[in-house]
Amino acid sequence: MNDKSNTLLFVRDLTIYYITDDGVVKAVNGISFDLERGETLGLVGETGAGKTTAALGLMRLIPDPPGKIISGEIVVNGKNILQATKHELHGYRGKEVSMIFQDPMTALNPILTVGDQIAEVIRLHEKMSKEQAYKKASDMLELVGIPSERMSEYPHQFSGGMKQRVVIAIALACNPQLLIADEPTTALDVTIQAQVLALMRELRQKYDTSMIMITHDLGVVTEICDKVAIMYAGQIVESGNLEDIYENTKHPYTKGLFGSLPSLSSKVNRLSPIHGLMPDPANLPDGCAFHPRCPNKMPECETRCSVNTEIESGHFVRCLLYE
Amino acid sequence: MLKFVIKRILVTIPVLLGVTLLIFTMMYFTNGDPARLILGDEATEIEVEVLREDLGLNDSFLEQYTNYLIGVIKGNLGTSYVTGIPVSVEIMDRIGITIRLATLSTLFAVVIGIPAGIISAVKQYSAVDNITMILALLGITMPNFWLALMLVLFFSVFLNILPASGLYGPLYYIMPVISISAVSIATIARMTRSSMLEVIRQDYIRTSRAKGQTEFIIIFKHALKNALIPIITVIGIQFAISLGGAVVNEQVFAIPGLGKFMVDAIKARNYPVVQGGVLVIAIMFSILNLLIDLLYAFVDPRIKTQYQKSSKKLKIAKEEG
Amino acid sequence: MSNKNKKEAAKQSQLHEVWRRLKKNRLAIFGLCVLLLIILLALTADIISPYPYDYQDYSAAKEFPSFKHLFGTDNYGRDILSRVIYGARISLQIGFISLSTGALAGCILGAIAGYFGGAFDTVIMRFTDILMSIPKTILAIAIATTLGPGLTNAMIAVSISSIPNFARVVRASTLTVKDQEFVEAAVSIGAGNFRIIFRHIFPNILAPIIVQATLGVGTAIILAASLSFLGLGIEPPTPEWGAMLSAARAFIRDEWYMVMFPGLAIMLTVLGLNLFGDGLRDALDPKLKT
Repeated sequence: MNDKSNTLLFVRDLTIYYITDDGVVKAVNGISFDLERGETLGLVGETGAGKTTAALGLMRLIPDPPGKIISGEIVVNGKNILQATKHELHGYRGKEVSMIFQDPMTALNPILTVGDQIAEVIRLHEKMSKEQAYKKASDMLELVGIPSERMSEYPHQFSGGMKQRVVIAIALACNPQLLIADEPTTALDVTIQAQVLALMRELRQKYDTSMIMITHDLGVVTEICDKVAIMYAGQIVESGNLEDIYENTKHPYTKGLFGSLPSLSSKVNRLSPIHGLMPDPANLPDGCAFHPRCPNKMPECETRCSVNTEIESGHFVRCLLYE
Repeated sequence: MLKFVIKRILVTIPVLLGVTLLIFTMMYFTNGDPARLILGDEATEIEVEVLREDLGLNDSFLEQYTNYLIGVIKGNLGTSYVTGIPVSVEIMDRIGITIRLATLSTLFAVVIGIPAGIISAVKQYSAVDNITMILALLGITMPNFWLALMLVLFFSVFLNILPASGLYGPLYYIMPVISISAVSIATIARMTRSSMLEVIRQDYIRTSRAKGQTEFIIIFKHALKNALIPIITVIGIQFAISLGGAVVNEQVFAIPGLGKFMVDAIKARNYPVVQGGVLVIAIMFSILNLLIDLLYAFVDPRIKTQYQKSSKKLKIAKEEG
Repeated sequence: MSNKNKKEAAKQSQLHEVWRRLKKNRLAIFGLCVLLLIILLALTADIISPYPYDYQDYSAAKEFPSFKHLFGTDNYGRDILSRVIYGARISLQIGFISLSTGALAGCILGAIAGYFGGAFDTVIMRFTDILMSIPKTILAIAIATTLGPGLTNAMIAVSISSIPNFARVVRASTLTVKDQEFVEAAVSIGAGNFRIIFRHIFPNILAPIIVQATLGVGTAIILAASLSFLGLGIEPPTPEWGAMLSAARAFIRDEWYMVMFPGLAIMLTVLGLNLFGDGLRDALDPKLKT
């Protein structure tokens, strides 16, 4: 492994459940990964794979009740966030780590001006006068491509793409070391998606921010990420750098994901989608969670789940085939 | 914004005209001959007919309404059939008490109800929440006049520590204000709680948390301001409920306010007094509603921009372009 | 399965889901039981009440509650328990009938005003403004005075005074919902106005309507009792709870039980309504569905 001091984020065995009257929803089941400074990790998976829960867990924003972080470690800059006090968390959120949410339409407070909402995070984390904070807020607005005259307007006066730019401005206002983007472009139309992605890439390079990009879009990953982790039923089933995952795909689920994508370069007559549906996280199958859908299923898969196996440097697979 | 204020004020005028028409129509169709009522059973048919003519009761509906309206605009609400004193004078003598009761009750309801609702929402499912909500439920389910009777029974009859009737000092206000405001306290507390709970679930609250904002500011700045928008409209209605409650409770506590005066007038078919009383209450309440609407627009920018549509459209066009 | 059947099935499973959630709410079920019990009492009053409501026995006037007269007797020697049981008939009738007519009118007006805006909004809102500039109790008093005393007239008075509240709540909710994306989505696929109002907006503002309606039946009962208490609603000897309280007031110093039981009856009825209604609201609230 690399030099520890360069590691920004270190997650081990993070397990998050939602405990409801109707049963326990095992949303995240022992995920582990590292993130270096300046690096971007793509967290890929279908809807319901536990990506957003994992992200909220990193922010310590799991709604409790019903959510509970059962076990694990989240270490950012050497501090274990799961042991942080309320007070420490207030300094952590928005300053060290900030998050861009999926739906920009509802992410902004409807009764505060966008200027207020950007300045709020600045005033929370930086010792500045009100004027300075608003000045910086207007700079941030310009930075994400919105004229600063619109500072005093309310969210409902902006379009979806514009709102997401505002959300990005809020997230980056205090220069966080880690930015978690939860499907930041899913709710936007394609042209706006491209603009927002380009903006995020540009800003990430400018400020050297590490990033976790949550997406179900493998195309987005190649555009912006250095590393990829594939999530299935609350577990990371395969992780590695872009090359490992795209060129040297190992896990049957990852193969299935690529098999579901139409490709222009290779002539395939039919797509090969993954059969069946993701299991209900309140009722996961025994053994490997993917075995009911797996084309390479072995009898052992029904009873035992593989450990995370490093098959080449930095390329991890959780599958009995490679153990 | 100024345009909106002026527009809103102008809108109040036809409403008040409508109120006069409504009240006048209702009283016009009420059974009983006022002339006969004034003169009593001994008067002859001719005497009654003369008085009918004098009072204008033989005129057409429209004429009578027009005369009534002209009088109202001049500040003349007619003369009491019973005492012969101008209604406006009689009302002015009594309205202060009723307004004071209703205002005190509404204020009391806001001061108790909103914090109770916030605490309940923030500590959802805790003992405090449960107790508050049980009390609120009792407040809503008890008729105010029965609560008043029970208070009298307990504090005046059994304990003998509070005066049961009249209005001669601060002590006399305690039971009427409690019984009038109980429903409002309960309603406001419940609305605040559910509104807060609704707002707390919103994505933008999560955004504030993600910014590292403290829970205190999140509750009192981000959530409460959003949650108060529906509650503001309710407060106006609560004032109306308090006015109604005052009218009924003035009977229980023998308080010489406008309410007791009006109910007595209704029983005596003393039309001008009833008309005048309802009209004055309606005017007061319309002004309050006006203020609340303005406040509403002030607090919720989404409503404000509804009145600035043209400029909004321009901006969206710019943005899209 | 045809499309229509599917829809029907979906609707049924939705109702089933609401009932399943409602069953879990013990308070709501308690409220429902109280309500059903009172309805049962009202229906079987002729059989169940120990005395006829108007049976006067001067030798037994103003008797303290005993096994013979569980709630005591009034100043005419009438059994208060029997009168309270008969009173349930009147109050429930007033509550449900007047509120449902008033609510229906109010919802329609409110939805039209909120959804179409413009002239509709102005006219309807001015109309409700007129009604609302007169506090509910006073409006009901004024209407009851015009119409004269009696059960039907009291119901009309209560019904009319409940219209504006509904209109306002529905309008306000419609305004908030109208601008949301799913409505825009429905507009974009060419859904008609009525379809949008009934299929898209109404289900989303159902919760406030139900809150308003459950509180509404209760307030209607209380309002009618207030009218009778003031001597404007149902007249004696009809055993209406408000009228009974009005008559009992004079005896509060010595025969306190006379002012106790009719009030408790009102409270219990309204409590049952509210508990059930709150439970229904929680069960219906689509936002709690996760």
